[in-house]
Amino acid sequence: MNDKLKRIYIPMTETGFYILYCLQEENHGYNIGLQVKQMTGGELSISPGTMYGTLSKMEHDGLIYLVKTEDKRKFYHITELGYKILDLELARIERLYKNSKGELIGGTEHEKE
Amino acid sequence: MKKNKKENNPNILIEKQKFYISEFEQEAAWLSFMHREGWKFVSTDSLHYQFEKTEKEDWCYQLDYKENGVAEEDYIRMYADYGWEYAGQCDHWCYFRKQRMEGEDTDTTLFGDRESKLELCKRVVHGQFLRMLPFILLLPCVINLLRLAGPVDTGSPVLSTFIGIICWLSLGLFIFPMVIYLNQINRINKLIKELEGTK
Repeated sequence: MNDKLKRIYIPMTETGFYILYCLQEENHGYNIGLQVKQMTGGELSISPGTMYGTLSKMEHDGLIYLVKTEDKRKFYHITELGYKILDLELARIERLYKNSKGELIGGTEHEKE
Repeated sequence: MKKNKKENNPNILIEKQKFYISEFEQEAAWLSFMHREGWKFVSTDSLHYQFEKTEKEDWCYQLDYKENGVAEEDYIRMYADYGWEYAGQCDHWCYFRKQRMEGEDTDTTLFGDRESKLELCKRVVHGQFLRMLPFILLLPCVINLLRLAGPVDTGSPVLSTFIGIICWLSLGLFIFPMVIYLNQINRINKLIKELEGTK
């Protein structure tokens, strides 16, 4: 993976993350939006401009690929490169989460009183 | 400022209105206003807007900038899935509308977050720059032509003046669109700075 892609996608925007995460299963734009809404309890809704722009950009950068077009809807799926970026991002989020809970990275746990 | 011109057909209205490229939100708001007044947007050539008479309803309009200038089937389909009706295209701008239902929480924007709105503005700047590029590239040629034609002694003052006018006219024809594009880029850059909060 080249550094340019890393710079663009890590850290990822919240919408970018959810879209890529959902594309571990083949899906199309509007449905991804619905899924994200459901996953986040309605907290995150992705508008169509954002959805279309993100999908086009991710396809162009090789993070996702076009599986099929059905009823004029484009269905995408994550690529190997997409998985690599997703894994890096997941590791980063996990670190953030652990640190925020007072855990140190490297095994040592912060002792709570 | 605003001229109303009703054609013979009372169901058609043509309005003259000028929006700068950076005023896509104002343009959308104006189209929404017109719909509430009972005039449904039909088409535009960016100076004139054609409307047809309709029920006075609450529709919100939005504009999107397509860098490739093509509203593909899957693009229109996705927006339709979200409830946005494709209302037409002028140049690189695509027009969408959606009816606002009373008591319902309707998403009234194509670009919900600041990030994607910024992306839209950057696409516009990029598009405008590409359009200006041929003028920038050809400008040295025109200037060279001027330098060559300037000192040519035709022996006839009338002919020399004529050549001179043609030369300056062609330079003007080159500079004029450049100034317009630069002005538009400048306006959209201001909007970008506002969005970035670094104004």
